[in-house]
Amino acid sequence: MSQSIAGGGEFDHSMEAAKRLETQYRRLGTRDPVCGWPGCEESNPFVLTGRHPDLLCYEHKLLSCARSPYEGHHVAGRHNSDVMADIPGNEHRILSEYQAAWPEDTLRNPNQSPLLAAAAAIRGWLDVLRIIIERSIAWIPEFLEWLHRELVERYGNDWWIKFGWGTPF
Amino acid sequence: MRLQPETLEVAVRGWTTNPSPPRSFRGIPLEDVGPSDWTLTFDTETETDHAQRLRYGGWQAHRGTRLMRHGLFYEPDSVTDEERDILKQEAGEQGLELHEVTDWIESVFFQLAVDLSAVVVGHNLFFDLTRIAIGHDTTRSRDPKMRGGFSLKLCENPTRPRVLVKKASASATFIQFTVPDGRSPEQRQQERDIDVLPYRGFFVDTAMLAGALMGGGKWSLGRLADTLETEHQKTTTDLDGPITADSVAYCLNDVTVTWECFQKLASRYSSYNLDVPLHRVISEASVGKAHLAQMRIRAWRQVQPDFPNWLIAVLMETYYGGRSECHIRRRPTKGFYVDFLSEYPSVYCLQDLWRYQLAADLRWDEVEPDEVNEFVASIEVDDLLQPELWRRLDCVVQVDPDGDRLLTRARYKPGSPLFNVGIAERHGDEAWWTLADVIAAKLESAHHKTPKVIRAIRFTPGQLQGGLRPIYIAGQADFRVDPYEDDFIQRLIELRNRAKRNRDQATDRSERDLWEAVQYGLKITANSDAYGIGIEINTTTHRKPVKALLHHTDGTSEPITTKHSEREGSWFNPVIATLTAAGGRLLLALLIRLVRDAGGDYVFCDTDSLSSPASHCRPSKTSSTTSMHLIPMTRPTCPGRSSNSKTSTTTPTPANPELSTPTQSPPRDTPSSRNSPTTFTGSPEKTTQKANSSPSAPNTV
Repeated sequence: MSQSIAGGGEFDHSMEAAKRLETQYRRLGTRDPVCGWPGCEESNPFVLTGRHPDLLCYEHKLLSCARSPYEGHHVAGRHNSDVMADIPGNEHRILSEYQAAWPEDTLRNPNQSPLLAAAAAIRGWLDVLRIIIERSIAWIPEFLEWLHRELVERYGNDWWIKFGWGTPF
Repeated sequence: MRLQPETLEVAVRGWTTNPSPPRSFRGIPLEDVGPSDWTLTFDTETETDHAQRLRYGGWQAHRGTRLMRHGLFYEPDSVTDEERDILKQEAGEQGLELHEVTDWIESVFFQLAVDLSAVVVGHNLFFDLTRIAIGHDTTRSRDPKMRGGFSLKLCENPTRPRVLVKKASASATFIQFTVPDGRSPEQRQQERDIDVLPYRGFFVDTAMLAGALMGGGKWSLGRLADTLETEHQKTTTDLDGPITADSVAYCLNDVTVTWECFQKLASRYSSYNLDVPLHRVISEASVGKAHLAQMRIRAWRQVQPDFPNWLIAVLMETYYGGRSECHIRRRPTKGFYVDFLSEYPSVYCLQDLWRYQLAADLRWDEVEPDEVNEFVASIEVDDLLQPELWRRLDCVVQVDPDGDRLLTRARYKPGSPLFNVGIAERHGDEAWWTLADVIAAKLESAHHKTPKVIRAIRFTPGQLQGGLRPIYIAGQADFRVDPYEDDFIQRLIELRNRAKRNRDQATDRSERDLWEAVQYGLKITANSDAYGIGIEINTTTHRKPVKALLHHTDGTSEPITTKHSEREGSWFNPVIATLTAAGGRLLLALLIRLVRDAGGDYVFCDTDSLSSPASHCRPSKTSSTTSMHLIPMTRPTCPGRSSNSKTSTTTPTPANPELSTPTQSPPRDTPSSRNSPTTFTGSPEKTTQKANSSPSAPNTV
């Protein structure tokens, strides 16, 4: 018998995801994976295939096999709904990884509970929104911060004044 | 009175190769991905009787530098109900997790150490791991370096790995996980035709790491924390009695101190900018090898794998360790002690052996024996005081001995299983020695008799390897080493001298201790790189005899079976190793000669030092000035015995000459290289050869 008096909650919550990520790193053979396809900078470990240094992202692996880079994704999970959306292969892999973090009952829904199916549908669309945000606009804040630093370095702390833009706020 | 020659069995070091070396993983050298940013630090408290059973322990889990979880664990059978209540109370008051040890192993240790690739940190980790184990066995690993160690069972879950531990030396331990039973993730990947290394875990023993980075063998936690000036310092408490709030606080503080020491050591190692990951550093030699690798130097066996085996056999035959000899026995004698500063690095630099380290290949040429005989005959003491001469010693020679005083490994005591090395007046079959040893034989013979060389082979380094890059030793900005321009070993010694100056100028004790640790670490690293790693031979003991190929110096070879197979270390280079060791012996022989020419004698000598009877000395112009003149980097200093790394020497210094007796590892059923009945005149002087600490097999006849 053991007794957990304090702590552990946050840790346990992220443990499974951290374990899966760790398994991916070991499978890829590096902690800094990146797709080897010219011009591709995909670095999500769940998307990459192969073994370092011969890594390809899933889409480029499909392309190299002359297959379509798009795949059908069960947005609410295959046990909850037949609704599928065609999405790029890389995003499909990430969404599947997100699904793996859902509660087991919601994902499998063994008794076809309509509430769990509804929960799955909402989770599925939240995941889609999340991936849209993460992979389409999440880069923008960091880019703006980098651009600001560059401009400060070249034109000083009030570079926008020198550009004749006035005070923006 | 002339003594009659005596026939003795003689052995020489042999060279064997394994006809079927273990395959690398599917032929592809794979690297593990390294640890994650998680760290698990733990410490155990045990009963104080001989069994030292686990009572309780403390632990902390960090992600980066952020403390994520911490707590206590205990062995239910070793604590009373009252003590458990104290543990619960302390855990509750301080917000700690409390686990029984079996539960802790599954829910904390394995989750972090295996599932999250955390670095497991402990001070004397070997001990702590054995305390939490529920069973043990001898290793059955296919990994040769783990043979002869322990396999620790930590839980009953068959899908969890065991922990393999093996002492590599007094201060270094190999620790790794086994591949657990069942279908491991690695196997699943292999079925999908993806190569994945079995997960071996990442373990760091702060005691061992401190020894590797700062020398001085193993460090106690208190001394280490004091030297590193960690925020928390080790406390003391009475651990004999029952568990109290004080003893729990003591345990938790030890965990914190261990973590802080780890942080400081990791930071120090990080400043070295070496590619070798921290968890692979187990000795000073590891640091030395890492510097070489950082310069992008490729090991000799990599760049010249086709070097003829007969020639390696010749080189191995010429290899002996440092000379350790008790000359005046069974008579209390006051001695005047001198030793060489950085002897091996000195002779390494004098012979310019750095060229051999950088060479893309080693070349060899036969030299006319008469030419060598004339050279040896012409050498006088003064010649050896000229540094230029030392660059002409890169030669091994075959001698037809005729009463010459040469190194001889023989069974001096009839019926003894031991082969000792002595300097004997040798007769009998010809054999190989280094040119330096032949010159030493001439220096020490009564009438300066020159041994008769009948064959000689001179080595020269080929073209330098391309693509080498400069490094900064220990991350010091002003200690840049360009391998093409500088001698790395010389730079190490220069850095050491600076560290010694800093030590002497230090105003407080901890700063002085720190610089002392730095200079000592640099000393050992220099010795390792100059000498130790070049002769690293790792022996594997097999359960059943295995086949091997024994190479003779005449170019023939024969298949043999042995239970102790040998494999060279990654930086094996017998030319560097034998020339460095022989250079050291020549330096010592020169000193003995100088002492004798001055009318003195010596009580004992040991590798790089000599004690002369005080009655023969005036303090101490003669020997001091001579040695200082001999080599700029050498001068008599206070004793400071070189410690050992994995590959350096280990035989203790004979503090009391009376107690000194020749020692040598007992021979095993390893390959014999030569069977030469040999005769001696008189009794050989009792000489102890320092044996290489990496278990190498003496060669029986």
